[in-house]
Amino acid sequence: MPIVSTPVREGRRHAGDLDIDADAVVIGSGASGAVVAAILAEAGERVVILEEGPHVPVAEIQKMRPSQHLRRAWRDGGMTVAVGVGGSPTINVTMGRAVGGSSIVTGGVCFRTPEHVLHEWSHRLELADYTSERLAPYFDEVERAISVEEVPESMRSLSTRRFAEGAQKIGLTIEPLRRNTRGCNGCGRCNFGCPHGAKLSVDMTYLPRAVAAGATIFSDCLVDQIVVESGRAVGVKGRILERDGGFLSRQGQISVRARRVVVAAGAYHTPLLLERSGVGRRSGQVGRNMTLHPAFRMFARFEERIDGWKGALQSAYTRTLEAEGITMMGLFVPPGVLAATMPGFGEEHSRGAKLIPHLAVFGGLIHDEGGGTVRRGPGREPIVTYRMAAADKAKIPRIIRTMAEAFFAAGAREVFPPILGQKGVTADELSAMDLEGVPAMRLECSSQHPLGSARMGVDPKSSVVDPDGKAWDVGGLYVVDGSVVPTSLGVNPQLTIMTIATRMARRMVS
Amino acid sequence: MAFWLRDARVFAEALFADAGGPPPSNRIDWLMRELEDFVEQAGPRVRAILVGGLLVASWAAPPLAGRAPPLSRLSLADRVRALDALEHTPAGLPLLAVKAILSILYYEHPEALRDAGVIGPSDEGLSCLS
Repeated sequence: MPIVSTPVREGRRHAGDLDIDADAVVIGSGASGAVVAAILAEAGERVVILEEGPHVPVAEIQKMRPSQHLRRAWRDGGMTVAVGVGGSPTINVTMGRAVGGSSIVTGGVCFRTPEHVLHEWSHRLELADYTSERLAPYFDEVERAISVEEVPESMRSLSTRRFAEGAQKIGLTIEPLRRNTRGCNGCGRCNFGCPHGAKLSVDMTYLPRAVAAGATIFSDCLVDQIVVESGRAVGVKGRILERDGGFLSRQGQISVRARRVVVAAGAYHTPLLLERSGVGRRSGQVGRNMTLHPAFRMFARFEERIDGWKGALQSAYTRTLEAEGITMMGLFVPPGVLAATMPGFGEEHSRGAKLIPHLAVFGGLIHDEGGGTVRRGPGREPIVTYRMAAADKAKIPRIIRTMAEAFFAAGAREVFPPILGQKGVTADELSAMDLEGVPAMRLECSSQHPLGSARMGVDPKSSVVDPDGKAWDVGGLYVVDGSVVPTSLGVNPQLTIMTIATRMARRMVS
Repeated sequence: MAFWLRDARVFAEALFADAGGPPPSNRIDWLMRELEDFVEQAGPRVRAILVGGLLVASWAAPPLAGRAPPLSRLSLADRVRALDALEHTPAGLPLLAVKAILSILYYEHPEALRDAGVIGPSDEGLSCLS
């Protein structure tokens, strides 16, 4: 299959300022921005897409080591955090910062929004159009566009197969994941940019469609403010960034005038932009209600070689504990990341590194109640804090014990719980551990799914946008990304985000 | 050389040491070049996280091994002991960030991957790893 390369106008190569007139300006080129841009452009609107990050085409990705992708296309080189408060763990939150947004750094996992979540949205939150029946055509449309397919068992890594064997012995049902891929050969590095163009992230699908319909994409353009005149959004202003990371960031100014402004900057930066532009203040909800799906990994050492990087990065999961708010999923991480979490220094670390080929990995995430807050920081980046609900904290030991139990049932010799400096422990040693008493500061926790920081709703007093993504207090302004998702999902949100964006875009053009 | 790069080198020598001492100096030189490029490209927040973590390591770790700071004045064995002790305290979190950045880079070096047994002696390197 030929690899499509999206034509992008790179801001860093542009000398001077940019002044543009358009029908619609879309801020952010990730999963939601790309969808909306394509639909608006195909409906005949003149669309401009502004992306803060660089353009990293597949041809470049093919030559990159994982860390080169990390430093180039991930926000903060993958080191973004949500600071834990009130006895909550500090969480490493990973996001893309490149053309294609986080869709280029995901494992490609696609879930339809779970039925019980949609039931809550349509009943308790009164989002009447957010039922599985009414969303089905939009889900279908997105799944066709990004080629959502089941990962065959033959593509499972030995790491995932070992967990699945143990999981079945302890009563967990393992099911195949679905991903947006075509022609995947299971090289295991989806989240460092697919080197084969087999992961159909939006830079391979919706963005080429948008460009074919006349849209223009500018990379390296940071939007500072939405321009509002007489209660209506009329464009945006920002800066053209000179190079990655934003050092020496003022090269030129960019100004786009448009009758429609679409914000798709992600759950960390959308609320920041709204706040800076004076949007949504009356609701008091901008930057609040963020959910993260806090996640915990488990490493398990087997006698045999596992070589967990051979096979699909993510291929299977279990929802047996869904009623408890827990989803567990296969994954793998590069050797360096495995090594980083091995305890100790010097010889001890070196011994740990030699275990890498023998390690299997699985992860568990919490369908959390929220507790994240996005505030303006001293620079252009937000300060995000997370206060984990007591009920969610109680799930952490359950996740750790269950994953360990599954691995031991599959024959693991020891496991490495997600606790800083924790040595490998046997089944008996784990049973004796006081997991409930581990201080939050010592827990290793990560998130790939920030959501809800500018949530949609039916009441302007408790939401930032209406169910169609329209800002309550400014005309012509839409928010379409993960920040509108009103509760956590308990599963990977990519498909939900794209489906909501599709629905909102179709409403815009109708 | 920036002070944080000197501190990073001291940290990396302790982290990746084995029974034979620190890794070959040319490998550490390579690692420091990679680290500098990583920080340059990844942005100012990464630099802040890294520098903060290195400062904590440099000044908070030595007393835990009964030595006076900074870390750079300690022998390799004492550095390892001090950092190991710090990792088991609540201040261990900033260390994780430093360990993560250095390890991600270090284990892309083919020799480091071979030492860890990830790739065999004759492997050219796997596309997913290096």
